[in-house]
Amino acid sequence: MKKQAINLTSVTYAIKAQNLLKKYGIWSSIGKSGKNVKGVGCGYSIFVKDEHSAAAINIIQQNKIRILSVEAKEE
Amino acid sequence: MVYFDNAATTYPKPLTVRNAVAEAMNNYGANPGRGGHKMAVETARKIYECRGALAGLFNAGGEEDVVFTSNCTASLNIALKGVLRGGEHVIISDLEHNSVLRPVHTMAKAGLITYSKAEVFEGDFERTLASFAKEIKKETRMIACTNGSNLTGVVLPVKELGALCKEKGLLFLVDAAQTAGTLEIDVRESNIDFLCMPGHKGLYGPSGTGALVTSKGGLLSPVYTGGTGSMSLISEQPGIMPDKLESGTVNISGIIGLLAGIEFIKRRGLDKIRGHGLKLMKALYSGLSQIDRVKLYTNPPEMGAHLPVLPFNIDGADSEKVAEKLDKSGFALRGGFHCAPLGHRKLGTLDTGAVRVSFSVFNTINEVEVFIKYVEKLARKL
Repeated sequence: MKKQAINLTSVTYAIKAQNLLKKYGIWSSIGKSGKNVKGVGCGYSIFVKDEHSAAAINIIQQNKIRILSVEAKEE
Repeated sequence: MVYFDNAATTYPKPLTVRNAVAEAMNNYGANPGRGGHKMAVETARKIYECRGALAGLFNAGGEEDVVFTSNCTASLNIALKGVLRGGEHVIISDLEHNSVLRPVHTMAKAGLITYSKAEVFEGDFERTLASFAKEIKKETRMIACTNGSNLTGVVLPVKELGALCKEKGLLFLVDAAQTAGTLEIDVRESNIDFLCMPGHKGLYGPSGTGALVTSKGGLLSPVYTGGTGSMSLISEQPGIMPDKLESGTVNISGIIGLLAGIEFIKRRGLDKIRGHGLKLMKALYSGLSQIDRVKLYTNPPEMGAHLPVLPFNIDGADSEKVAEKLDKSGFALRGGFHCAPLGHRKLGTLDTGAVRVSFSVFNTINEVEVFIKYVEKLARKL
């Protein structure tokens, strides 16, 4: 199944984003960002199903949570 | 033992807090915000929950506005030393604890800042406000004051002072050491930029916990820098909150215990907590005021004007000696100077100190009545 990793700055923002998405009925999981996102090192990502990624990104951005990058993940 | 030293730290802690600490030790042992494994993320979630509980209690903007520290003093140092710049002026009150006085005085002694002390008038918010306003000058950047005295229990008009700061374009720092978990504090309504608190007093959390609630993290230069679990490859401290001000591993079991403490006070209700404290304080004040040789320093306690904290002395006796005698009779309270030299100067007790009684939700009217009898007996003997 294809997923999108939405890479965020820290675990605080990852949990904040996950809680927000939950309110909108979007399920997500949290994990470390898979690679050196933007060359800054450790960060956290939330993983959402491909079909929910556009809505998830929109919700996260509307709530002023900084997204470092988005990338496709194969599970 | 009857414990009347709750202004120093509350004891006992609620059973739910003790259980939460034990559960944290057993089930939330990973480092939050570092690893990506299940326990690390679950631990981070508990820490986040506590941020949310504090943000909710004080009406802060969001979880990221809550910085965990080791105690209120650490929060105050992070805020004061982080924001004040060379040549600026700060106004404190004449009731400050050393946790505000010493950082400010140290910076002033180093020639970095200047400070003034505004007089607090017990129960007279208007005069207190005017006294702060009088001290404002063009270099003034901040008012930094206690919400309520740890010595006299006298409450300061935080909402009005916040409005004054907003009007004059000043930053507003509040030391809520004695009021977090007792008084309603709304950082947005009161224009509080930096709210500093311990976790181990009125919030009933374990010692070693504290918080700084601020939406102005961007203004602060971090006092501590180091590992945050975020942006590990860059040498600069991350600018994101709360990481910017929260280097090193947080007190996981303490914070999970603090979360249980906050839930405890929310279940009980701040109104009920205040009402209980006032009831005990009224009984204590009334009983002590009828004992010959007992000297009280404040007006009779009133809702909104006093915290459940009362200093007294037995005329001619050293306060430490009185506290020691009371300890032998099974009462734990604090004599001496309570890290509050300004307050003792104001009371005229720089020679003797004072004996301080301070209540928690676990004290009872029966304890107060027995205590009054012991003080009466002691006043006859000493």
